[in-house]
Amino acid sequence: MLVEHLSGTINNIRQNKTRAFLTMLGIIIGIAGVIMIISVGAGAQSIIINQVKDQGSNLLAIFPGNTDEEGPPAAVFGITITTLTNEDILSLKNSKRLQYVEDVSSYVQGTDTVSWKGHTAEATFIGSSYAVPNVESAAVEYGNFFTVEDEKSLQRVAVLGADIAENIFGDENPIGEKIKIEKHNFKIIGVMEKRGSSGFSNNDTNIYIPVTTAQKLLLGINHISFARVKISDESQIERTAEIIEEILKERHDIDIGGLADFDVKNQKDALDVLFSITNAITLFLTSIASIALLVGSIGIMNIMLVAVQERIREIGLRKAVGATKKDIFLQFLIETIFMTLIAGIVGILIGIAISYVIAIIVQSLNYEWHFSISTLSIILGAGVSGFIGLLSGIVPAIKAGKLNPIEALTYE
Amino acid sequence: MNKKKNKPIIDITDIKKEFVNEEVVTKVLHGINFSIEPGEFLAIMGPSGSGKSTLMHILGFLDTPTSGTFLFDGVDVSKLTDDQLAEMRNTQIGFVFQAFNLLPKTSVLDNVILPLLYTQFSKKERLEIAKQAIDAVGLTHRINNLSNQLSGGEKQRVAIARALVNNPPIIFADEPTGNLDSKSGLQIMQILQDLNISQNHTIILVTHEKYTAEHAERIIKLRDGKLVSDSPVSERVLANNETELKK
Repeated sequence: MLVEHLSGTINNIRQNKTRAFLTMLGIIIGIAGVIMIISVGAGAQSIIINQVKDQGSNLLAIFPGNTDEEGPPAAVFGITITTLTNEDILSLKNSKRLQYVEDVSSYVQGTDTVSWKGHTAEATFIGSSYAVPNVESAAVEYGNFFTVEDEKSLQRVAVLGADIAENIFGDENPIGEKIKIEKHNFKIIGVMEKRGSSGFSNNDTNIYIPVTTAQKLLLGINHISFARVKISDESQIERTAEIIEEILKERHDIDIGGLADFDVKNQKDALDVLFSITNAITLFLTSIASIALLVGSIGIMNIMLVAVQERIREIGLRKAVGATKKDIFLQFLIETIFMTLIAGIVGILIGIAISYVIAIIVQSLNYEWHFSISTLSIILGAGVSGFIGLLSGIVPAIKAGKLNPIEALTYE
Repeated sequence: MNKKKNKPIIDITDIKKEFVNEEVVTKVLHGINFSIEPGEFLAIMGPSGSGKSTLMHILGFLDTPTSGTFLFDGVDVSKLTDDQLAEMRNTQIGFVFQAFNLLPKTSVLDNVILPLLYTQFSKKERLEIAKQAIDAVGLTHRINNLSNQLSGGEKQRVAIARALVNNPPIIFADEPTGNLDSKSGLQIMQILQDLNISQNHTIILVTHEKYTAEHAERIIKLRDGKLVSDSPVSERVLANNETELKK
């Protein structure tokens, strides 16, 4: 029986192509919208998350001053807190209690005029530890990064980010050249590989100099802006953060229960915040697309009700040749479900196609956009369209089944 | 014609039908009695409003009488459920309507196969049976044509094939020639007579034309919901002879 209803349905759709198409359009747009939004949401999430992850999900960040668990570090508000020093950070590297700390790096930063042979530019200099290439997983393209000895002896050496090297030196080889930061000469000993922008900052325009040189020579300070700690085993990241807190509290003469004057942040915390934001946006957009789906389903019910009226003579005839109430009911129900399922499948395909095109376009703009279609969104799409078919088909199907055959036969 | 006296296939006693529309009661049938034996060719005549269509709807299981008994092959029809009535319409009778009532934009084959969709036959059997029925009305060459590509006479032949396809004992024809020119009408009457004479189908023909009615063996006349006469046709018109005469 099912096969007959289905072949009848296909016949009927073939006879009324335009109407069937318009009936399905609402569902097609709705489902395609849902699929696309979920896919684009996941893609956008992948850009943001990857940029954070590029810096390593095995990193801890230590900021001076204490903030709430949830809030951003105080430095974000431009408040300078001097409680954290390079010695604090170096002590972490040598501690026997921190067996999973692979490397550490302190950071200070400033902006100053940089000049070379008449070229001048405003640039951000980063005073950092020699361990930056390891901690940040960044490679040196030409020359070398500075060493622990350079750091200890406050050497005036600099390593350039890829973009600033190109800006100042163009095609010339900068290695061995001397640039002026403020009024001090720095010898260029290396150029970093191009890293691309990450989050809100662009590492390729940075000039790296030893943290000690930056503190004493350029900034005249003893504290650091923040530090990074690289963990060798990602699963130990939370435990390590706790131990770091204990060690630093000891160094700062703070009781174990007391309020710390520094803050150890886990990169996972940052990721969680980003995830919750992007998920909320995706959910919001999905609910808008769902409204389109709802409107589409009302449309399909409306058209099926009209179709019952239009095909009243056909229903009468079918009853006259032996169709039962149930036969007619099933015929209309299956017709609606079939149409919505087809619409669902077309919608899914269109949604995937649009998502794919978007992914290609964004990827061509050099972003790390992951094209992904979640199975859940497809199941959701197919399920919702089937459900809508069932729901919006039932009322017209009951109406068709109940028709009096004589009235239906003689209907003009 | 040598018909044995048989148990009637249709036996109605004091059938009454009223329609109630916004508390206005319209009496359409005022107690009709008659019986039809298997293999009979009966014509029901009467002017419009005489109740002949209502009577046919009752006899065709499409409607139920307000009172009275309707025995079909000895079974009291009022005791049947909706689904059983649907099955009776499917297996016991075939309808031929004045307006053909074919499915629009649907092939001859699909139209004829329609009643078989509500049976247990396999797909292959259905196709076989439908092809035979189409052959019986001489439309094999039009089998894949759509219903709207056919002439009126062809449409009515498709309708007859559809009525025949389940091989029901009774065929109801409601003004089957009403929308046709005389030549096509004659063809239809020829087919109906042939079904009656050589295949022993019981035919119940509803018409208001005396000439068409005289193709039957017996004529029942209705007027204002009452049976006014029930008599055999003295000189039956045979459609086969007519065609020969016209040639």
